[in-house]
Amino acid sequence: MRFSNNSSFFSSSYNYPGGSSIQDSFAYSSRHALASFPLKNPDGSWLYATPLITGGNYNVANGRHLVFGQYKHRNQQLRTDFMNTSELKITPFKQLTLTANYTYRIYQNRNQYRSANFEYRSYPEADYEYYTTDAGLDELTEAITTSQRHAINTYATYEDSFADAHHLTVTAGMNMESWASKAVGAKGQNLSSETLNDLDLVVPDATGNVITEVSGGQNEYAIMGFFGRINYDYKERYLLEISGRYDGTSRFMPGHRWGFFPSGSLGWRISEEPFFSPARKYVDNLKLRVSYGRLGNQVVRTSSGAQNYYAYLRKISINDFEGYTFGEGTTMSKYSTLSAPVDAELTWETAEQINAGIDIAALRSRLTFTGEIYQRNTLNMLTAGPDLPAVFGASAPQTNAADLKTYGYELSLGWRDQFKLFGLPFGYSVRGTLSDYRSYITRFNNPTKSLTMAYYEGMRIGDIWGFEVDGLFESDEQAQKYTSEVLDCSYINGRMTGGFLAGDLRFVDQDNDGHYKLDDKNQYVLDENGNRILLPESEWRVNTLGLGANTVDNPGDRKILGNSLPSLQYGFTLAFDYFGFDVSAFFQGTGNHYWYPAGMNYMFWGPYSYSYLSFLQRDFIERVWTEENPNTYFPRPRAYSATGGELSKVNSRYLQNVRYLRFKNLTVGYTVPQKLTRKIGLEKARIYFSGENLAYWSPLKKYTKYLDPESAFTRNGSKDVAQDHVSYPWQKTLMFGIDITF
Amino acid sequence: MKEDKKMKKLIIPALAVILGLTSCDWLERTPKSTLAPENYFRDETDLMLFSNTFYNNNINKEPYDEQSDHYVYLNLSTVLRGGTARTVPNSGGGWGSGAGAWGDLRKMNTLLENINKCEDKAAVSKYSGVTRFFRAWWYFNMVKRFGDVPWIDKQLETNSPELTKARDSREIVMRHMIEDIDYAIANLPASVSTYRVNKWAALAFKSRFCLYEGTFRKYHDPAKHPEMYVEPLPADAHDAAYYLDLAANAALELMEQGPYKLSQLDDYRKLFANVDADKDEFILAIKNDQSLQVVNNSTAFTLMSTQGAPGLTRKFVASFLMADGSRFTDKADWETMGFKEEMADRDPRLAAITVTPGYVRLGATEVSAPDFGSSVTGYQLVKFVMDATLPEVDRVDKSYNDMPVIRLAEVYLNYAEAKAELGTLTQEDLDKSVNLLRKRAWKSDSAPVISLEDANAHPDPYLLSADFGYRNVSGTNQGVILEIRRERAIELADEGFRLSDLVRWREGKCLEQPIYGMYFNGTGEYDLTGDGKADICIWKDDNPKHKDMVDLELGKETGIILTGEDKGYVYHHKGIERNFNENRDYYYPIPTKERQNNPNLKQNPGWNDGLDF
Repeated sequence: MRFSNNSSFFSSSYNYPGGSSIQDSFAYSSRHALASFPLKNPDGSWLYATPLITGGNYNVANGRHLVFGQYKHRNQQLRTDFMNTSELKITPFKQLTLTANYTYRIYQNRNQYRSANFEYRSYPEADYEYYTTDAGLDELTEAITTSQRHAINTYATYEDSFADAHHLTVTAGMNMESWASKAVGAKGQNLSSETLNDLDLVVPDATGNVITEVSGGQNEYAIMGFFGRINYDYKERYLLEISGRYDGTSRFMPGHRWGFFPSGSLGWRISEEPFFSPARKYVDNLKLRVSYGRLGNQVVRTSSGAQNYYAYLRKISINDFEGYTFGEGTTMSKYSTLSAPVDAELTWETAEQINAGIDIAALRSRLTFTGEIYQRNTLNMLTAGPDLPAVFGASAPQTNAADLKTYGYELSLGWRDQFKLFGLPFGYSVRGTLSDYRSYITRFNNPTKSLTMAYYEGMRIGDIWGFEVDGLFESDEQAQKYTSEVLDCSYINGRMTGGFLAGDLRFVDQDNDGHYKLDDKNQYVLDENGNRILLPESEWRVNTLGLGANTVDNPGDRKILGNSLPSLQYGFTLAFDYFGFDVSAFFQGTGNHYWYPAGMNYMFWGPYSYSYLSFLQRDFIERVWTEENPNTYFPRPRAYSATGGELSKVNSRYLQNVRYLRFKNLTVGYTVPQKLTRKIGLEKARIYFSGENLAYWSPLKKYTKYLDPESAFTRNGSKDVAQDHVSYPWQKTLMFGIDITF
Repeated sequence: MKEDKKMKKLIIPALAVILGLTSCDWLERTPKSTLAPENYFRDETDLMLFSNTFYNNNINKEPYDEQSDHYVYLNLSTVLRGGTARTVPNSGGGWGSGAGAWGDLRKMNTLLENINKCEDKAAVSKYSGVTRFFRAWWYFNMVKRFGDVPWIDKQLETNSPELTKARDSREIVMRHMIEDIDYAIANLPASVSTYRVNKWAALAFKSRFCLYEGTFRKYHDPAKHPEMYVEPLPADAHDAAYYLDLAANAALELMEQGPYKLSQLDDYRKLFANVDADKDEFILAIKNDQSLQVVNNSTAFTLMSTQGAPGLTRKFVASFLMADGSRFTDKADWETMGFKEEMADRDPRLAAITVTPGYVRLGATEVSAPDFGSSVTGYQLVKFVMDATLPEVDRVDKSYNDMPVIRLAEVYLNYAEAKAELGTLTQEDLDKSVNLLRKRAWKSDSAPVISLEDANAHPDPYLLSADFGYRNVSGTNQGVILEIRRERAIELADEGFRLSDLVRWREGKCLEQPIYGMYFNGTGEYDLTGDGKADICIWKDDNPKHKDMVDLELGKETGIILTGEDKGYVYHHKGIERNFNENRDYYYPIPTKERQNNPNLKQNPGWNDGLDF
């Protein structure tokens, strides 16, 4: 019998100035801080609103320079995390082990956000004014979330060998787990101090109202499972594993809570076979393996990506209005609401995986190779069901709506050797990995293959549908000629007063869906002599640049331009050591991989997204079309065309291939010979240089150096909020160090 | 081995405990910070909180009107531009599943299906009344936009057959709306409650939508325009007179029995600028509150150049009568009259809602001139501009004047119009309704009022002209109907009525009429405030660079564009095509995706969504 206990405690405090998030600070200071406005007046006071900005809404840098310059925003995130595991192991006889353990974990996030009024002058020597709303609101928010987890595991393991050939391990047991979190939040406005942060300091505002707000919230889940596993091998030559889990979760309705997930694998170490012995000279290990397994997933997520702990239940919640009041009392009016309809039959999502692999070690284990191919079927995917007609009055409930099939492979090849160079050992190694996969939807109820729905049967995950652009109009005449051929361009140019002009994008009319050369009433066909002939009403057609019926079979003028998931992910490491020096280099990259920048991505679109940007990318102006400089990447300048105009229509010209090769790491070290270091009592002394993210190569670099290919994504899939398109720039890290072992 | 036995003694109870816990209860975790719907809807507070969203979600909180022939922004709306500027949306377009469309209806049906769980029967009838008021309100918006819509009066399941039902004829929808509103009239409290609906709000709203339907049926006569009735009217459908009669009766009941009267404020402007709603005249209003940041954009919208630069059109300004009751457009030189001259001696409401010579904003001391930067026509609308001394109100989304939703003035106008369209209008009817508005505006009992006899004897040629008037008004009451429409446009300017009025009157072609601004007789300096000093200078070729007036370069978007080469009306929309397609534009289209998801939905006339059914 053995009892063991393991405790850990972690605590951290993170203090930072600025707005609620780094994205907020980046996004707001990236606009309205034009170079024509200084951040400070010549008298040293801060500048924010100024009479030069009429209306006074879009003030200098949205006040973010005040936020950082006056350092009144103080935010603190405190984390504490305690975990304890006690384990009892009993061995009644040699082959049997009984294990029981219990884990308790409690962790707490305590967050504090403080904002305060900022003073500024509208011009030098003017009276001080105060920025008191939004980021300048005098407010303290405190929020505490406490989570507790209990977990119990009990299992028995029987392990035995027979006749020196059969080796058997049997395990069976169960586990139980529960988790609960509870939040408490409070905030208050008008504090009597700008430096002390406590809700006791909240005082009435100018109208005599004490403005405070409280909030709460709780979540819970529990899971339980029974499991068993049998491992058997015969002389390490034939390997067999069979296992099964029977799992239950609180996240589904009674009757739908339990799922059974079996798996099994077979291995054959051919190199252990007697008949293989002649080849053992060259091949040290050769193993073939196949496996089949099922795993369950019980996590249901809301459309915003948060976990939904009670996805099978409808709930009444009570909330504060943000923009409505009835003039009853001095606090915000409240309302209650019933959560959206749910699928009460929701149950486990199952990932079924079939996989075959080969492991080879050869030539005195200098050459190693691992290869794996797999097919994964995700059955009963937990996702939003097919679109319902809008009269339903809510979005389609999360349900086990789809099946997904994924094929893929993973390869890894390495060579490691050593030889003598001028009498000293020279060691070197090379290793490369390569993998790829593709996923297709095999079940989803969307018989018309409508592109408005998330999926359709046969869809490859990640396909990007868009228009093709074959250039920019060279002249206004050319643009007008185009417009007269494609009569209805309003889907693309609806926001342009006067339609397409020179320098605008020329979209390819793929489907040429207007069958006739029509006059402006769209009701006539012109015969060879130019006479108008009235068509029957059913045949009135406009040649439209647009979405067609928005189905796979009639996608209008769009086609699949590329896939947003990375293909061919690869990496390779080169290393050698000689004469105390060691060098290793790691490269990593992906193959073709496409991305269409969202409209609010300032770093790509510059002023095409937003006209009051604080920064213009270097050389950007040379890439902008003008009558004098017509052969450019970007079209005729039109502010906001990327957020709602023609550039917001996904098209081939601005689709980015974000494949890349990155020089991820280089390490050069030198180990001082031991016979020298031992003299001063050191076992080992090594000095080294290490560089991270030293260089990258990508087609994206041609158009912007301000976006790393790995930060070319849209956070949360949102297109409209600038905060979702900024990220902390990718950093290059250079490091020198010394390792000393006594 | 002895130790082993001890261990077994330990293990067996431990296993028993664990197995005990494995009963089903372990996996039963119910929410602790939200309520189960089965336990809700139990008392009046529950019903009130649940119905509170109906106000927030269904009442239009933007005080400024949609663009129309009377009121335009620098960027014309797609409705005004028409033609290819209007397209069939793929989704949304007023027919989405969430808030702002069908999601709001679902909430109402949720409450109605659960409301009987509450034992307090008085609360049940009151909040059933609130809910059915808003259901009628919701359907009215849908009928205005789409014509026929499916009537749904329960919460649908994912497999309900109603999901794919066809649209119901507007007649069916109207009958249900009348049932709903009659229930609300009978069950809502009769006491004044300006920020919550009561019996009187329900009566006023009934007069609003019945007038809409009555005039719609009259001017879009089913016999002449069957395409407007995508789902055919049932054989026993009511006629226009039926709805007009309901409208007049609802209005009359409110006028005779309701606790409301026209505002007693000393300044007409304060009715719209004051922080608090006028409880005499506003039957339903939106509460705004500065300390809670429940605000609107009314002041900044009309004063700031970045907000859309709205302006009234000259067509509308010219329709205001002279102070003596004569018509401005009867003057020989009205068409080429400059700003200062045309604004003299007019209906006092013109000076109350626009920047006219001598305009001093509430709370301000200095005269201000019209600002061409923030008003595309030069006729700057200031109806909801707040007192200048109030802090912050000039900033975007910082105004906090309460906004009218239903006010008595509209009920008067509904009454007079319904009676006039029915052919039963008397002078007495006019005197107890719209003529009270005239007297209030003129602050005088001897204000020039509408005379039934005079109006019908001399219909206003301006309001019948091809360029400025209506095409479809005829009959013995032609003259007085025109006068009531004039009064309605002026009294309810910028309150959200004009565009839907044009639709129900089948006067969409009005949107093709000129949307010009002020008249200028060429380059030179102009005094717009009437103080004898020039306020603007229109120049060409040489920039005079004045320090004491605004220089506007002729023919430039950043300056001033006139209809003629060197003189004419302000016209920044020059060259922009406008087109109203009477065979298409009275209704909005059903989104493509919705017709894909439910092929039983027919598309509205004239809209091509590319679908083959």
